[in-house]
Amino acid sequence: MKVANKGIIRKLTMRIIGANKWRNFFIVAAITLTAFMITFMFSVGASLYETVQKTPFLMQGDYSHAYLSGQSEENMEAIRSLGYVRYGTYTYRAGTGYLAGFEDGLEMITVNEDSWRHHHIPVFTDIIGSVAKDTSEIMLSRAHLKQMGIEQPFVGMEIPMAFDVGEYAAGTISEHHSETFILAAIYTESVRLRPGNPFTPIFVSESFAERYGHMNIKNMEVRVIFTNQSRAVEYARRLAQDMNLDDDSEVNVHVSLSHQADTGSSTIYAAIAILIASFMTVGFMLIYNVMNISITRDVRFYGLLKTIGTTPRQLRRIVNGQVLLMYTVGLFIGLAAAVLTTLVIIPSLTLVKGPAGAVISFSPLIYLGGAVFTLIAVYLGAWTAARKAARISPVEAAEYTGDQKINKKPRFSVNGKPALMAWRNLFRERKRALIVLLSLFIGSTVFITFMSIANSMDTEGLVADSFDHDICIAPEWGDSGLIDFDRDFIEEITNLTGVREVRELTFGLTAFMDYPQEMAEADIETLGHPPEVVFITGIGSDYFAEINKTMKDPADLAAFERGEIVLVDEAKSLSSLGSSLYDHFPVGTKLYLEVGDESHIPVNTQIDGYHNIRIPFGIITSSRCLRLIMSNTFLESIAAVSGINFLCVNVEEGMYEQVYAAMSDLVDVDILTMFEARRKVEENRMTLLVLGVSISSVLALVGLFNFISLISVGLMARKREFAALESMGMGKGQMRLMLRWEGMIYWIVTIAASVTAGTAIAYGLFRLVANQSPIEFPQFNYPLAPVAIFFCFIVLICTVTPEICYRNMSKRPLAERLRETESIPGVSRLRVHM
Amino acid sequence: MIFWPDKKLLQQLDKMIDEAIAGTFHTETYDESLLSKIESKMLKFLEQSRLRQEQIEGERGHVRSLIGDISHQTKTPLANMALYTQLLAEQGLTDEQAKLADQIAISTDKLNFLIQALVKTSRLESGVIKIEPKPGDVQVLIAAAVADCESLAAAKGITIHVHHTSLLTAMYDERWCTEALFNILENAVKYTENGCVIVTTTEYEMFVGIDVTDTGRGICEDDLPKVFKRFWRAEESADKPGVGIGLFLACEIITACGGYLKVSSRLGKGSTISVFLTKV
Amino acid sequence: MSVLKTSNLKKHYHTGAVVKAVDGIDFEVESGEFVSIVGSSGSGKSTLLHLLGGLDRPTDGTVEINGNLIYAMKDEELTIFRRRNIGFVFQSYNLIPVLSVEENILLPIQLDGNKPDMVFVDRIIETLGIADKRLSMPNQLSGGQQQRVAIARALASKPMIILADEPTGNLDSKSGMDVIGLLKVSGEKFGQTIVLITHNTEIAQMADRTVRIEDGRIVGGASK
Repeated sequence: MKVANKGIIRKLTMRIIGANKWRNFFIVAAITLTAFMITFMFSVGASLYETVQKTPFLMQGDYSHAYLSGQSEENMEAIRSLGYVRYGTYTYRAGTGYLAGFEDGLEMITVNEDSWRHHHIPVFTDIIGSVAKDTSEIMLSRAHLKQMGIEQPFVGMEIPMAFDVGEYAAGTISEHHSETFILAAIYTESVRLRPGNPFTPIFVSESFAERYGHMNIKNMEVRVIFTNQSRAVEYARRLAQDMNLDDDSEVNVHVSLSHQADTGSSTIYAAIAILIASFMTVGFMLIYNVMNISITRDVRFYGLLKTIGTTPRQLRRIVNGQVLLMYTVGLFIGLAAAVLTTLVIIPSLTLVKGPAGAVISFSPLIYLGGAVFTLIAVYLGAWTAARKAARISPVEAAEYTGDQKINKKPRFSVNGKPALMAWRNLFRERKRALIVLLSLFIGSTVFITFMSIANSMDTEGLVADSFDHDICIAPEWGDSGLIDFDRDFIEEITNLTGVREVRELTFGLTAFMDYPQEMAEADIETLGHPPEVVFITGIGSDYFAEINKTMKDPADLAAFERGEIVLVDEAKSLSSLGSSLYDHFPVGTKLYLEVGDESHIPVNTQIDGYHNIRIPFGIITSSRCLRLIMSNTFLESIAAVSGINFLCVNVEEGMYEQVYAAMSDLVDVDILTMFEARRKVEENRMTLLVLGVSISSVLALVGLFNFISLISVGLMARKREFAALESMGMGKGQMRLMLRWEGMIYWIVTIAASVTAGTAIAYGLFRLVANQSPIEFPQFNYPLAPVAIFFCFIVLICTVTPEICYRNMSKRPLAERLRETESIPGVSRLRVHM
Repeated sequence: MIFWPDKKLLQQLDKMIDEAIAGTFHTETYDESLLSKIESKMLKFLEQSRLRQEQIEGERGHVRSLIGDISHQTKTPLANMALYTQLLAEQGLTDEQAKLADQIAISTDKLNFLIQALVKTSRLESGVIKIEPKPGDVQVLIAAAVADCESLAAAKGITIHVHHTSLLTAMYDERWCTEALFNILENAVKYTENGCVIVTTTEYEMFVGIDVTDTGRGICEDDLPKVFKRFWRAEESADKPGVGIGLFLACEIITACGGYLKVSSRLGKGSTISVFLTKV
Repeated sequence: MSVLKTSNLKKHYHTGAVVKAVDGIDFEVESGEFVSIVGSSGSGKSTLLHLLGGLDRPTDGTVEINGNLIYAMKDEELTIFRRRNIGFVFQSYNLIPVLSVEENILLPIQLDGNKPDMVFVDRIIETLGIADKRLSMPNQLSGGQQQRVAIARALASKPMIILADEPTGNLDSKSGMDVIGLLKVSGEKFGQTIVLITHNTEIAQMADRTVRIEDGRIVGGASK
């Protein structure tokens, strides 16, 4: 039980804080920057995580882990009560709706409060209105409305729509109706790059389904969200077992969840962790140094307090109290800044953005993490200072004159040379000097790393490498697959001015194959069904000829055209099958395929080589599948394809804009161009650059703060020493030279270390990133210019600071400076020793 | 049974002791609780202390009345001694006899002086005499004391120089401080053979200092702290009249006025006794 | 029982050669006494004062304050003991610069969590003539006034003993006289035991008893 002296301790804490304004500024600034950076990094990480988690669902417009066919109410209860099931909801297929402006019908699906909240709200944005309840209410997306030609939709407007119902109930005939519906809600779904059905279903109310007899188990689809997304496959299997489901109603896991985890982002997570650690370290270093110096300066204050009876514990509370207060202020500002930056920057951060945009995470864990990690760094620094204050001996405090204590004998004589004197001066405050150098080093290294990575991103070669062609015209999806371009269209494109060549491809062709036993078994284990599909991209002979030039063993064109040989689409197959690709399908493997969804045309062929065909489209599927490149000629000959549905165009030098403009007039489909791809990569690079420069600047800034505070205080402490030197005849010029040398040593050591060790670290990290990253880095391009500028800045600060401090100091007359002890306001008198 | 210290209980105890210090303590509870027991004991203890205090007061009272009695009772015998000694001296004595009579007279004087001084001191110490310092002009004080000393000084051929200053007000009791200053002046005169005694006044922020400097034989360093002690006389002064109580009395008086005395000296050159009074 | 008692007190420094700052001192102070310790520069008087006040640990010997062996206590205990029982007046830097005069005076009392007896504190402030400076900050006071505040603070917590280290060392002679005079007068008025360290014999003589110190030993005066 303690006596009630909290009040006086608090008063002392507040008062001493008020007397240390410069120090407070440095520390609050450091804490703010540290808190801001750590929180921001956490934000980026968390947003990245959520984006990665959510993207596949964004692309579907439906957030569910698994699907089941209809279940009874009992079963639903049972499902919901399972420990690993977070939500289980159900919807009904309610028919097909035909909206104006749409060629084909859209599925109608029911929603209720539950399903809307759990499955759709997470993946839709800008939702206005409410869930459809009434029979006549429907919910549409802005994409729907745009397609319908409605410019300014509003909730409550009338939407006339024809629809078919009764399709799914056995024994009923489909009925066609036409009614006027009320728009209950409008939402925006994410950008969808997946070719195929680009529209979300029409959401109707359950009462609508009931009215038309669709509210039955046959039309029901159950959706499940598990407690842990990463264990979805496992849970799905358990669900099937627990519910004793028979084969008819197996549990289907969502597309993306059966894929391997995304490894590309782990580099980013690692980078974030390293940066957080760096900030914690540098922040801690600054606080450690500045607080220690502060305690030393105020040693008489603490010593006096101890003399008149302030216990070590109370002294610690005074120090910790000061730092805590500064922490609160700095944290508040830092977190606020982080929130602002998150809102502004993350959406445009292409590193974080997925194909469907970036999901900003506002999880309170981020801010808690920011607060806690900053607190760790701050508290460590404060704790050392507090301990120091608590240990002050009153005698030592009473005799304090403000001069530095020199404990050890110097190891070498200086001969009055300013440079050597400077060197020895540095050794006096070894620990502090080391800390400053370390913090400067960290800042420099981070800077070099970022700049190297950004600089080595070869955007030109990158983009040129990433796609084989300048412009690609993607196919359209129709009822029975992709629509072919008609000949005239292809002619027109080919004849546009500036077009160099047009490559014709067929895309999206499926074939069936018996996969090797091993693979089949593995897939049954993990996915529940064996692989059986092969995707085929057909290319023309001219394209093949070009590919051939790059192959080690050129293949025989004739054989290709006869279908005797095929190439494996390496990159996509690899990502789908993993390394088993090489095990099971090496060059020379004979394959037996049945080509065509319905036609099942038998084909015998052999793998002749691997090639990474780089076109900006692919088919996403949950199954593992091999992807092959076959000859258009051959495919046409066996009637597997009817025509060309994918065009790749190469453009003459500088004719790019023209061709693009001309093409846009002709065709209304997605045109993905290298131009845009290049722009995207450039964006990436710029973002990385800006981010990198800002982050490392902040780090370096904190390091420089450390330097400035150390130097200015160190000089103050040596006031009398300088005065003594001056009185002995050391000229002002020599003094400044010595000080300049001190600053010089700091930047020489920093730059030397950064150039050697720093560059080595940067290179190491660069290698790591390059290996992991899907983007290619041709070579390590050292960013000479930026690094040089950065170093110049360091040199500047290191040179200017001692100068300014010295100038301030030497304004007073020499005699006064000789006598003056470490000033306490109002008491600067002659100190007479014992 | 062991109980954790009860915070409330400790606070109550703290309050009790505060009250005891301030003298406002009273018991509140009368029950079986430990607190009540402690309260009662505290009360007993305070009562005992009070009784002891009263006892001491009582004893002091006895001493005072004893002093009063001594003073009263010795007056007559002493007066008689002086009278008869004088009568004896007037009887026509031989030189030898006259010397002897002289000795008796001197001793009687001393005795008288001693008893008076002792009584004064005792009264002062036991608080019988109330010294009431009031603001007053320091010059007035000096003048009064010097006046009392004039004859003594003149008899020895020593001048007392007073350096005048502007108006300085200090807290002093007119009657008693005059006596104190007189004692000091007397002392200075007594130990100065030839030369003068100088009285100067110095103004400080909180005090007014009156310095009485003589050109006597001085006091050696080791003796300085003893100067104001009761009955102290330097060895060298054994031949001079005096009991060694004048300065002591002066010290007591000045201290009671919220001031103090200080002495400095140079052997062979002289001494300065400084009187410090609280400035107003 | 004496308020302060040392027994064979020693403080030796071992920095290259052995420096015997205090070399076997037996010293006693009775309650209410005003004792001065005189010595020239380097005589060990400051070290002695530090040892008496529990500010520095002795190499050998004991210091007893009111029967308590202070060097048998741990740092935390000793600090609290000091707070409650010892008052200090130093040559310079006596006041906490960020607290006002009144706050400085009340500091030891408040550190102990006690409510100050303002009547008593007012008397002290009056006696020391700093009543009009109650709310001023230390840097607004002259050296002499600062010392008086220091004395007030030392008196306010009614310690068993006040230790004064060369309190007039940084002051001109007039201010010095004021300070010493007030120390003496208030010591007398409030019945306070005072030990004063000085190199100035004149000032030393203002005490009831003087002790001479040289080369870490008592060489003159009455040590009891």
